[in-house]
Amino acid sequence: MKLTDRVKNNRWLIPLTLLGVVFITYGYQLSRMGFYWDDWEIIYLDHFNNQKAYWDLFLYGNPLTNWIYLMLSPLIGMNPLAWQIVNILLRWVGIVGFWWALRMVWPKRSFEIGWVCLLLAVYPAFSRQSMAVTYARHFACIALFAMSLGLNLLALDNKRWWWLLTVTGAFASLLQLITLEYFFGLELLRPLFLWIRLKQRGENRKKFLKEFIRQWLPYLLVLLLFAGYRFGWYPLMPRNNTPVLLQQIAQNPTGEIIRIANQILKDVAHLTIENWLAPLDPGEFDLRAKANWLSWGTAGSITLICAWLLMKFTKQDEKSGNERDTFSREAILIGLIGLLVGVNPAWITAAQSTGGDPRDQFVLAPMIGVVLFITAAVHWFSRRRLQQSILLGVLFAFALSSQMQTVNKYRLSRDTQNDFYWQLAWRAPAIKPGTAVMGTGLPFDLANDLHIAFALNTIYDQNGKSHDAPLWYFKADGITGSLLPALQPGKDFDYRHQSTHFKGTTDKVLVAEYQYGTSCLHIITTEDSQRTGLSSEDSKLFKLAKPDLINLHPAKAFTPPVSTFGPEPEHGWCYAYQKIDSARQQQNWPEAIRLFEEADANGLKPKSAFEYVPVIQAYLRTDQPEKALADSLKAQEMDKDQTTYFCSLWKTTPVSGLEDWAKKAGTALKCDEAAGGKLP
Amino acid sequence: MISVNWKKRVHSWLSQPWIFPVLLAAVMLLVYGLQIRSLGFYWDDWEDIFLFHLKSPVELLKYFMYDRPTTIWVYLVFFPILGDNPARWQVVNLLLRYFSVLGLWWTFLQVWPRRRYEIGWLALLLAIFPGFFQQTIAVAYSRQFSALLLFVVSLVLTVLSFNHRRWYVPLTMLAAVASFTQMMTIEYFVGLEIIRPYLLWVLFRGEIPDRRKRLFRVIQWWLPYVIPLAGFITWRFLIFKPIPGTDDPNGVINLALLKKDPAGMAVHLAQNILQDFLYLLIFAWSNTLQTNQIDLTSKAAWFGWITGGLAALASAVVLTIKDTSNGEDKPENHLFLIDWLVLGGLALLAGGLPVWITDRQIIVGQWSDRFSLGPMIGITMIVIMLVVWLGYKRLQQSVVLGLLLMLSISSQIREVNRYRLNWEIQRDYYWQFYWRVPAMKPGTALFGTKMPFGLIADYSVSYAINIIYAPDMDARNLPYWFFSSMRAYGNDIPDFIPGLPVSYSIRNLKFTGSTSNGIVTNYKAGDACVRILKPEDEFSPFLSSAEAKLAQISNLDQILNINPDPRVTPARIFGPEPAHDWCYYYEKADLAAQFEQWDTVANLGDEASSKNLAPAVGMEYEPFITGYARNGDWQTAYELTKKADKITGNMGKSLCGDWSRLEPVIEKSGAEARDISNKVKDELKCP
Repeated sequence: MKLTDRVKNNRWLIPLTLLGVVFITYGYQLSRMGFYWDDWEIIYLDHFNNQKAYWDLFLYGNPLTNWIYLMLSPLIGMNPLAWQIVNILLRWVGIVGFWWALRMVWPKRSFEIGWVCLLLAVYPAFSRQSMAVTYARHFACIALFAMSLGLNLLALDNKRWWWLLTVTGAFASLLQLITLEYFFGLELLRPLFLWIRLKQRGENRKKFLKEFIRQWLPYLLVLLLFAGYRFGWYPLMPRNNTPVLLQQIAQNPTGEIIRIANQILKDVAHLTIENWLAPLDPGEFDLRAKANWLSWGTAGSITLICAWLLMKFTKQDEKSGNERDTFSREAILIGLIGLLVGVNPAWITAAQSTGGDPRDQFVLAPMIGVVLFITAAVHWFSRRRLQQSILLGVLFAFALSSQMQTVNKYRLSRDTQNDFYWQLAWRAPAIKPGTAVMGTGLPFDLANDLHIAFALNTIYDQNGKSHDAPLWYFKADGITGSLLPALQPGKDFDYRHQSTHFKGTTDKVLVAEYQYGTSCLHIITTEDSQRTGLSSEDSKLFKLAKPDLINLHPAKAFTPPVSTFGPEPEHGWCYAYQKIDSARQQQNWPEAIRLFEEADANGLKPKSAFEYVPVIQAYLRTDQPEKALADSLKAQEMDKDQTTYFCSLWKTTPVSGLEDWAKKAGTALKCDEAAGGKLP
Repeated sequence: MISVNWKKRVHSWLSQPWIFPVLLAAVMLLVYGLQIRSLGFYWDDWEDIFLFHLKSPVELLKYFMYDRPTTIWVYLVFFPILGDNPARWQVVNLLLRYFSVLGLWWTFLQVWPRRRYEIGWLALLLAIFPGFFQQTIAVAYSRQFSALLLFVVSLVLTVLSFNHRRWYVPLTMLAAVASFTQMMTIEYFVGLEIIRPYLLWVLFRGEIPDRRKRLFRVIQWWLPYVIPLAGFITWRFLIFKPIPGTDDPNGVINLALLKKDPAGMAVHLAQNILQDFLYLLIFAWSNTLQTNQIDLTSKAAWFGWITGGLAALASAVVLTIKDTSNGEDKPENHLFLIDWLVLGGLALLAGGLPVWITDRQIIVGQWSDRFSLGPMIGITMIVIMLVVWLGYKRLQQSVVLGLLLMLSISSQIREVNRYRLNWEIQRDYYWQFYWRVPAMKPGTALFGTKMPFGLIADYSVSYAINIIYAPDMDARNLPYWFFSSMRAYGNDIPDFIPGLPVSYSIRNLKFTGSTSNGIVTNYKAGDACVRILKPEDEFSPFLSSAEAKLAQISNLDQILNINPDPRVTPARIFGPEPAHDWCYYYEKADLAAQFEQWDTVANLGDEASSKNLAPAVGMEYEPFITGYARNGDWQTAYELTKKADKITGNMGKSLCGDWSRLEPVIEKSGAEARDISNKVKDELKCP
């Protein structure tokens, strides 16, 4: 047998190709990925080592979703690499499930279904594959649905195994429905697939209907069971995804119907056109960026290989040119219905899938409908394989390249996050319970203040038992308003997020400032409120800062769990800076100088002007004004806008006998000019 | 039998040679023409209308000496006929485009006579090309469309010379003159000259099968057109010099930089071209269906979709009915597709060349879609070629091309509607301004808190104001100028303090003034009337601290109460005075209050009240409050104060200021005035 024939007859050729596609697209940075966004919620739950913690928290959203974590976390722990692999595999299993199931519906359309699966692999509307822990449950649902559909269709022609296949399929269906309700709309596609498959038998109407009901009934019962759960038991629990659409329509029928029609139109256009064209955005075409060339090159090569494989190794339906083109008609119709029923949960909870990144989760359920619609539309338009491959290949290639670029953004965020947490651990071996850690903004992308709070508790509350968190993270402008009227001392606040609780006060605030790459993590002191150009809110925040909340000599120093936060980074300047700043906190000035000079001797230099401040203070306190002046000038050189602040250090450091030096420093730094608004 | 006859009759009717030109005209009329009488002047139109009002061809020439001196023939021809009537300009601009597209359609049909289907779609899509949305800026773009028409006329003449060899010499000479004139008018379409030799190549294909011989013949035929091209290049790069001390606004890319880093510059240029190409190929078309523009409650959107749908359907029927090629896989079809791919690619690159070599891009800048005019023909040919090649049969191709046409039509219709609404706003603005400021002292600077409306630049407002208020202006000493103050702060306006010189010069035009001689204007279309701010408005709601500071330099003495010159009126440009709504009464009352004509203020207040007119913001009650109080009608003043405070929150401080300035009058009036004043201060919690 010729090699090509052997390959052609290999049933695993396309599934393995798809595995390659998903692994290259999402896995090329596998070892450098971390945790993002809502992943941290799960990491936080896991750190309790108590299964009840999952139940308590998911009670607020999808109570039965926790099985996947209870099953997987004992096996793979909270290891980012393992979760990335799991999520990629789950996605792949779902895609292969559709490859298997859809070919049973349209046996002559392997070529088109191959493209459906390729597009499913890189679906550009969804950019959160790397949030592996969070989305594992979503991809598990998709995989369960695809498998259940496959088993359902397989049972049609397997009378001997019908019961086993049907029971397994129905169980898979039930499991996906109760895991997340996002995908319940997909169940409405099942009868359509069954209908098409049974129609091909050419049986008389009575027999056809009987068989149709027999095959669908078990799944209909599962759907009814789910409806009972969702609308009977589920509303008794606290939740935030209430189906409000019908209430809204009852209140204002005309207005709401127009609004929802508008929303449907927008979502359809967004999912079928805008999302696919977004990776082609001219503004993103930067020929100087190496990452772009890597992603384009990879995407181009993979596309060519996949297109060639599909054209060469899928059956050419020779009659396709002349016979009635039922595939495109059926697939366009099912695709469109799949799109609409897929987005349905978003509409009935008054959310919208077109709302950009935060709404990404709503685009997964209509995914199969969208790609089926697009592939079938292209098939109807072009018919010929070369032309179809070109059109679908362009969409696939750009979506793939865009996904690769997105993965790279996640990788960068992981580097930043780990850097932040490790620096914090170097600077703060322990933090006093009840401390609110605050920042002027979010220190990095792909996580918000809530997620940082979860991560901090994962580090500083290891083996914690209670949902009363010992510390919490707040973004300063996020805390004022409902929680705190203003950033003033002596104000207590009580923060709750689902099952978690933190009781804080503005008298126990640790302020952290961080800018990846351009500075180290800074633990703010009240002296920092003298900086030039602070907004009034930042100034208020800095005045609340209490670095003494850091316990530098705890009984047990906390370090970030390596499995979650990666190994400790090499000790560079920022490590030295954190230790110098710790020495400042203890007023151990000789130690601060020793550490600085040691770092200097090793060629390590401050990244930002503010990192000279503890050094200048140390030199002033140890009666070395000439060195303090030299470093003041270096700091000024790095950031001339802060001249007044550096001048203020000479006035606020209470050391006697330095008056002459203070004058000299004033002249050298041109403090008077700076105070008059002129930058030296 | 009857049905067969009927079908035949329809078929024969639709096969008439005039059907497509009529269809094209109908599409263009539906898209751009229905609102013609409601459209006005926008953005750079104002520059040209202003130059017309200077009534000096010398100044017109001087103005264009800075970039395109030879362009002025368009205005020298059109201004005497069209004057400053916006509707006439719209008609002419539309005709220029229509005949350009029609000429191109005819030319291409001569070259590819069996390709009615593709050429028809090309003409339709060019007529409403969705990469260019400035058709309604008619005065400014008459230059571009005149040039395009001349280019097409020149192509028509070339094809005629091919078809009628007897007339080769005169037709070729005429064509060369037309070509030269279009290049000298504006350089947008210079690169399109590349189309001509390719058309000749295809025309000679049947006649001269041998490629070398054919190439020689094409070169021979094209040579007469190389002369005008060379002439233009000589003029543009060797003869034309910008005015000393100024940069050439359309200068080519920095050659020194190119020499220094040729690879870097090549990448930069390649990136610009690639980005624009992607935009033209995909996003110009897909943006017609942007999700944020889907609005089922918008009548314009419905009108656009329905009109677009009907036009697309009609076009598909007309173009398919006469189609003889049927889009099937034949060698002839392949040759045609290759022709269009090559010619489209060349026309795209050459059409965009004048843009890209000046380091500009279609995708950068608010008005930059004008740069798509050059590459428009090339990209549309490529799009059609791709649809025809990728599409299975005519049905599939027609559906996709029809959708493109429909969405483009609906998009253009919405855009024209936006321009119509903008003209209404402009009319409102200038009339209200005129009611409030009947005349101004020369040298008055208008310090706008921001741009009063869209689709203009700050100089557009300056030109309009000078046209209205200065019938006898001098280009070197313009009496008025408008500044968008927040943007001008620190440069054209050094600071918002009195006594500083302010000046503005653009080409041969100059304005000189001072921060002491300015009035501060504030306008938010649809939300409030035009407001002339004064120093007392320091605490007025909705003003930022910078705007409040700006209000301190507003010098109302620059405003004259009476207009001594009957020629000073917005009516000429903006049409008859609008019906007197609330804003009229407010503007007139504010003017009367400025000149302490308190009776007039109260009378205007009574009249407005009797007509049940009321303001949208509380600040517009302020002149009436003062007017009624000064007239001794304290009760009405009190009631209006309450109304003002109710309509607009955060007005307390401003109203307290009004009542505090009334203190000397209250002092002289009786106990009622004092009681009411105390009541007001109590209720408003005045300090």
